Amino acid sequence: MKRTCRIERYLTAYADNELSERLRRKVEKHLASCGECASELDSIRASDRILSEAPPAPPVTDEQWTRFDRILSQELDRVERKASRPARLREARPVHADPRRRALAAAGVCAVALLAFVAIGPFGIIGGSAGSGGGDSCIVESLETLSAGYTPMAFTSNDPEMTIIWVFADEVDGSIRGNGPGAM
Amino acid sequence: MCANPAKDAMRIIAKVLLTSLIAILVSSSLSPAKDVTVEVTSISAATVSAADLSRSGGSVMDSEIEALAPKLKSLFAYNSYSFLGLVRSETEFGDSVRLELPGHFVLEVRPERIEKEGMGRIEMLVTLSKDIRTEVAGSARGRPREEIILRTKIRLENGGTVLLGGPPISGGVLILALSARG
Repeated sequence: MKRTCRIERYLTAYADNELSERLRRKVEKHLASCGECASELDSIRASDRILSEAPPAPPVTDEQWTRFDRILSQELDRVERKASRPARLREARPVHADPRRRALAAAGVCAVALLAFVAIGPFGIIGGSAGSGGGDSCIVESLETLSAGYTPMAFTSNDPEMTIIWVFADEVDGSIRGNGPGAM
Repeated sequence: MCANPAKDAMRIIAKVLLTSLIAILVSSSLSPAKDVTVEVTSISAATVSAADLSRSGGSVMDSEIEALAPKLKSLFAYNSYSFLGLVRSETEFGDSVRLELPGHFVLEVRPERIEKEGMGRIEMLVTLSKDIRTEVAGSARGRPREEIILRTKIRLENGGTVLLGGPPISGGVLILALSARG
């Protein structure tokens, strides 16, 4: 949108049906001839739809806002001092007076949190440790035989680390060290 | 009347979050997912016949299985290990590979999936059967019949080895070193 478009500031109120009749007609007249403002209005309405469908955000306590303002003010002061332009300090508006700035910062925090969750969360696209994966090189989920005369069993040896699935045949003595029947 | 600052703020938040979400979705769709990068599993099975020849005073360890020898000796009570063969094959997840082993044994392996997390274990169904030929009237060759000795579902570490064994084979017992790599 062109920055010179003076109607821009009324678009939000127009979308919310909060303008006077005179201003509303003025905005409508402008929208008929300005594609960029019309596009911006569409964007505002799309955002409204999303907001109306979104679950309510958790409340932010006054204490959290105060802390946030303090940190941001300190950071802004630091930047201003570094720039060595004292005149700008007088122009700086109190942070808490600009909800847009607070919203931008909050949105940034939310976006980072969202990115982190999507990246390394339980369904993350970046691989992570599997939690309690265990150290066994092989996990036996099920074991059966469909023939008479055989008995399958699974063993795990720690040294060397190895999983053994042994089918004890009636006609042969098992010979796993220290475990199966007939072991030495 | 001027715009509502609170609503403007909410709209900014919604826009930033939406943009982030779209960026994430686009990036995740462009980057290859872990579970689809591996489509083929390489299966190998080394077949060994193990026996106790101490009574006859003999002891055998074939050179082909020297690498396995320390493990075999510490795990089993046999003193003789004869290498019978090595078979390798590749198969896709969900498909079975059938490996013909010495002694009319048949090993069928069906890798089902590879885990995305941790060790990246390969989940697979393993069936060990023995081909038993039965005489059929009027047929000189007989008809193969398979006796399923073992059916197991395992989750094997990618590149790992599991030992299967026990059934009798040529004076000893069969030991299979089954490995899978995705």
